[in-house]
Amino acid sequence: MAEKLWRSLEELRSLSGPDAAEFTETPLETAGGPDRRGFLKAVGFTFGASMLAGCSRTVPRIEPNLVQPEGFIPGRPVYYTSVCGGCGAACGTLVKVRDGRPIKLEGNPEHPASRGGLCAVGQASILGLYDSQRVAQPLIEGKAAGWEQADALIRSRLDEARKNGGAVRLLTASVNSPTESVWIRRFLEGFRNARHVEYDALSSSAILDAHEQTHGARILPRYRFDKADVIVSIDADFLGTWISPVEFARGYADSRNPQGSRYAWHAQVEPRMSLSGTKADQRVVLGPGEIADFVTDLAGAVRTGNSSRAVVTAIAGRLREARGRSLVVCGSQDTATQVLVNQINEALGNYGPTIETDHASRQRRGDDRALESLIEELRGGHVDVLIVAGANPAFDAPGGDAVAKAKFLAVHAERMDETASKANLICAASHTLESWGDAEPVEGTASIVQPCIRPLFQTRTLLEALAGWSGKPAAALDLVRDQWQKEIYPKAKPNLPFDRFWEKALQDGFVQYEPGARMRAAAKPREQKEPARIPRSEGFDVVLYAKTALFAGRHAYNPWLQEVPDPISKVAWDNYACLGPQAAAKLGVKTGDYVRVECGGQTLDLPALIQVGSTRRNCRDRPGLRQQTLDALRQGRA
Amino acid sequence: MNTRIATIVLAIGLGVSFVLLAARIGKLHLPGNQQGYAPAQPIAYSHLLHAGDMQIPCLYCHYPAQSSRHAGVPPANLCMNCHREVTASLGAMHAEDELAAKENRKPRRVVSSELKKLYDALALDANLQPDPGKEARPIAWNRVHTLPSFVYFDHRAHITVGVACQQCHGPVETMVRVRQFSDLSMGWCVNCHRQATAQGVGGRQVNAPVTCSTCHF
Repeated sequence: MAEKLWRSLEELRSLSGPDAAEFTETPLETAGGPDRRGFLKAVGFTFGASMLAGCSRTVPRIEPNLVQPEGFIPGRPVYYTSVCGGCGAACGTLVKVRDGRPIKLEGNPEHPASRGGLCAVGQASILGLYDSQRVAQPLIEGKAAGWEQADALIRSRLDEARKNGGAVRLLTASVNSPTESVWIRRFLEGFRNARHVEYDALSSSAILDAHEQTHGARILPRYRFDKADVIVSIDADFLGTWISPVEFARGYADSRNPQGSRYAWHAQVEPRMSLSGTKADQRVVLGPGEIADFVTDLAGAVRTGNSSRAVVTAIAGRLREARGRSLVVCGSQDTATQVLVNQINEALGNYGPTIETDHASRQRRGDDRALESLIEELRGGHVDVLIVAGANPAFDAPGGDAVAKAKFLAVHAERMDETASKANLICAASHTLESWGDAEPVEGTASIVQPCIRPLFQTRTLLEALAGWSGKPAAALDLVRDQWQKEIYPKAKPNLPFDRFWEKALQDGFVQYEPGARMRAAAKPREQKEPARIPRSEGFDVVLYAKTALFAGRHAYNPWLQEVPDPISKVAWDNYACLGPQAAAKLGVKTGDYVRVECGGQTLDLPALIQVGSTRRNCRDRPGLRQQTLDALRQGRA
Repeated sequence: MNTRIATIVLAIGLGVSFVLLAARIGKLHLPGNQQGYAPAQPIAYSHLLHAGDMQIPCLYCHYPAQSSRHAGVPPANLCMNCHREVTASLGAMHAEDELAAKENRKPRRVVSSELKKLYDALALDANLQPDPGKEARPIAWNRVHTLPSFVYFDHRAHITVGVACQQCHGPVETMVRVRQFSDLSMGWCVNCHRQATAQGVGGRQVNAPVTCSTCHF
């Protein structure tokens, strides 16, 4: 008989004892349920309420088009290609539009990066369009205003800064739109002291910094999981939340096809059970303090073939056998660790086959050091005008509260978030499904963001706002079209006139072209640093991670995503602290008990959840792992 | 004694209420049943005139019924196919023509009060040309046939198989104002589906399913 597998601790207990079966023979407990009178009351009330509801008659109306466009039939959906605005990964989407309203998002199967996939966040992002709590018009000091007033206010502040050489800062999440990048540059050109800072709540800054050291360009390469035969992921949940999970999951599925010719081998090194960890052929559980040591050991073993640790030797052996067909990825926030990872990949000859620097990714461009220096400037009161667009630093950037210290804070936001509530001026932003725009998730693959409905409120896209503030107001469609005619059309070299090329790009949902080859420098860093080691301490390590459906909390307003159970913990809603079974036993904590987490001078009371996978039997004997791993979920506004 | 009087008074009251209500009992509907509903419409459009006297086929205006789940209310530009020329009743237009011939002048355009609403909705001027000074406003018709949102109904399947519009909607070509003819209840749907499967539609064998998921999913 095959070994019976279990999926939760409760199931494991029921497998070992007959009395804990799913359906018990003993009658259900009735205590606490309604008594007879209460039941009758409830029935009576329900019946009465339903009768009352039946009495009112709302008159539904039909408002047909006055002039119906040819080919449009009420009740028949039309599909448009667009780009998902759920995160920076910019997956291609097909938007189902019925009677003029977008009703469903699906992946665009033709899109070369996402290839038909769309994650839960993307699927649910359509709810954001119809969110009644969106900012419907510009707000000046919290009071509703028109765009003329808002423009006049920000123009006067910008003119002042232009005259006096005041500091103007633009803070955004990673900008994956080529047209937006151009307009940000044009907008900031007019100032003597202006800077654009990009940051990501789920930062990959260390990877970019490491490539600046080893390859001479601050880029995020494109990882090709579809071309790898051996995958080693070090604390990177690439199937769940890391950089571009849909693209990576699609590629991973290709290289691990049981019916196909090859089945990639996958090792996951991580301190907590992640979605990628559940799929791994070998899972190595390490505390967050041991990741740097592991990478150093692995780098040595890849060079020499030997390591003091058997597990490292085995993984390095697999990697050495698959030179040029392997892939090592790492989610560490430490640049020196990432430099080591780059050296491992370079030694294995992975740059080129499985790690593409010629088609660099624009999905994460954030720079943590730039953000830190901006926060310093803000704290010192040196910023005259701060414009925040598409980001919520007061919520998800360390020290982001400092945005309130800017002399004038303008926020381009869809809803009243932590940053917007501190703003002098809120520019109401359009939802992706209402906007013209473009996106280039990886160099050489560009898509047009196509609106599927007119803006429901008095909102603008960031492009329109930037053009307006630069003194050249124009519609987003014209801005994008112009940019494509000038930049992308010549690069794509189609045998088509531009109008036809534009139509085809809209219809296909993407355009591919060959970007210029990047100079490849030797993988020798300018300065070799020791990877930063987290000091060992008595007690627990706290691992903060992004939940699969909520990421860093940007979509916390979205009830669909709050209701999605986490694929590992199976918990929907709310914030919680995962504890390994041994750690919980030691502390005498059960699932549901409240624990107080103290870390970095901050405390948080959270319900505990006993989660296997953080500490496993094979790790208990490891001498370094005396301290158990404590995973705390940072979910958001719960 | 007092109790007896009270009982008699109550009994008589009960009896009178019954007699009064008995006349209305036949008209009582269950909640949600809107049989006989015939709301006034923003434009007094007559199906008797168009579908009855003029014999315009149903699908000329309600063309989406063949290709979509909704039959739909036609867009105003479809009305203009005819009403660019026909601006009032035939009688009124003839009368104006005769009068013009008598007075030896060109006939003036006569516009009926109901058609004026259509032209206003489309923001047209007196010569039926677009008037930039006016604002076009869609016409908000009152929906007559409404199904609850938990029911999926598709016109396509019924039209394709050859079910006459009148079978569900009644003699619309005789209605000045559209009235809900059937009760549109589930029992009514299921009965018709059973009958259609047993007897066929228009002499053709059909399979009208009666599984739950046909309409509820």
